[in-house]
Amino acid sequence: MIPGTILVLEDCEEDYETVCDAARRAGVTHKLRRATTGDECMEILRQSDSLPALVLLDLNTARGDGRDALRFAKSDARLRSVPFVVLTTSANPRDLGFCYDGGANAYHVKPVRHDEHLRVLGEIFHYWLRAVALPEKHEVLTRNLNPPLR
Amino acid sequence: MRPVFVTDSLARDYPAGADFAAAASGVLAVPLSRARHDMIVWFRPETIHTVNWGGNPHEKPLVTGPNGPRLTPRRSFELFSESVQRRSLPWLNVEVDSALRLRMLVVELVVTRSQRLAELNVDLTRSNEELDAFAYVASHDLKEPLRGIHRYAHQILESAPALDDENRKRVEGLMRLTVRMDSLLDSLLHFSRVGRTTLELDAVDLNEVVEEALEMVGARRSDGTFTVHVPRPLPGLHCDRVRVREIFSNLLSNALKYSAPAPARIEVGYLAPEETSSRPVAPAESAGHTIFFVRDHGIGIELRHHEQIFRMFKRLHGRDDYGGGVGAGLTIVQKLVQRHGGQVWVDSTPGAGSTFYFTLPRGETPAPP
Repeated sequence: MIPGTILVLEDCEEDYETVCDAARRAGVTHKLRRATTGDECMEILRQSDSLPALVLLDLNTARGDGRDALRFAKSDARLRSVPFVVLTTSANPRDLGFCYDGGANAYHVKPVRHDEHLRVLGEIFHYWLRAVALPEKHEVLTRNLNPPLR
Repeated sequence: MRPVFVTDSLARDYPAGADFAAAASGVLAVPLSRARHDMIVWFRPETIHTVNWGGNPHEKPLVTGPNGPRLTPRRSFELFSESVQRRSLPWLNVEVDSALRLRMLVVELVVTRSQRLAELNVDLTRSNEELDAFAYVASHDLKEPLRGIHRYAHQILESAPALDDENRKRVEGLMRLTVRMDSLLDSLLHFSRVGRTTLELDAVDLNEVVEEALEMVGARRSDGTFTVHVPRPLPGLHCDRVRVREIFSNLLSNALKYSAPAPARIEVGYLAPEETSSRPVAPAESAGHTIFFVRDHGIGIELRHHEQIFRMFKRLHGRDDYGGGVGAGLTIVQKLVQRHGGQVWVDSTPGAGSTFYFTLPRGETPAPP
């Protein structure tokens, strides 16, 4: 089985490398795909045939930010069940509220300490790629053939 | 009706005025603002000291003389002073008119000034908001490079086990400093948020709030050697529970910190507005409001530092003494108290302890009508 991809919206070089580092340390076999702007992130989601197993979302990026990407994905029936994990510098309650209201699956504040940053990422990978039960991709698609529940 | 009060005998209109008849028998008053009860008042002294009549003017000698009913020369030169007691010279119309004109001018000036003030207020509010937003964005954006620096330092340390001791120390120092800057930025962020968020006022039992605050800070004290005494139940308040809990947790945390190393004895209490005899030296604005306090028997603070301690990032001791900290707690307390319309101040004796007092006027339920 192909493990699929992890889509990472991250405009900061160092932070993206930390994500790669943490994935390596956690033994993640998924392919990492990077977007540096919200627009690029939405474009990737729109065009790819297979859904990512996980999306890591930075909030404050240029040209369409993580908020836009989240709003876009959660209003799209095809993408709705993909876990979106927000990973940002902002601990602003308003951002937290916005993300959870908008359907984010989790929200993490990036620690400044590198070891903690790695630990948080490791836990995210462990939880969302191994621990949690998610619908299979074909199920997602079949389900979406039915009219959405209202 | 003209907005003026005028009398030449205050005691006649207001009997209690007899007590100061000598200085203020005549009163001319024009109101300036109803809301603040401002007015301009002129006083005139009792005329008994200045004028003595040659006779009783109320008993005109209306005696018909040889030339018919007309005044004839006074018969009595007895000094008359009885009936002019508690009276001043009468106010002339021109004086009353002048007072009214002056009032008009002042009112016009006040209106112009208050318009200007309102404009300034809008500006001030906006620039305050901008400043808060700036502090927020700045500290937020500063964190990203900081995380990068910490990461590189961490990698140098990991990838070069052969690093000599001196360079290892330098890199460790670099990491320590980034972590420190991180906590400074966190405080700055928190402080700017305290200034911006709106208060959520609700009925709050302060005893519960103090209990919760203690749970928050008490756990941090590893040796657990402290007692907190609340001599009598605290009153209910209509305030922002989370923010008031933060006031208490910061003050309690300070009290615990600076009680070290002796077992800490802390007292939390209040003084009702009417308990005037036991009220501490307090700012004038606190009159009529409940004063809350957190008292410790710790190291105390020298008088010359009483102002400074409320300043952002101001610490009186070494960075790592007394459990460390960035020096933002009291600044945040001050901001939280101010947001509740109150004041915070300290009374302290070095070596004997400190008492932090504060008021929360916005939290006091208005007195029943």
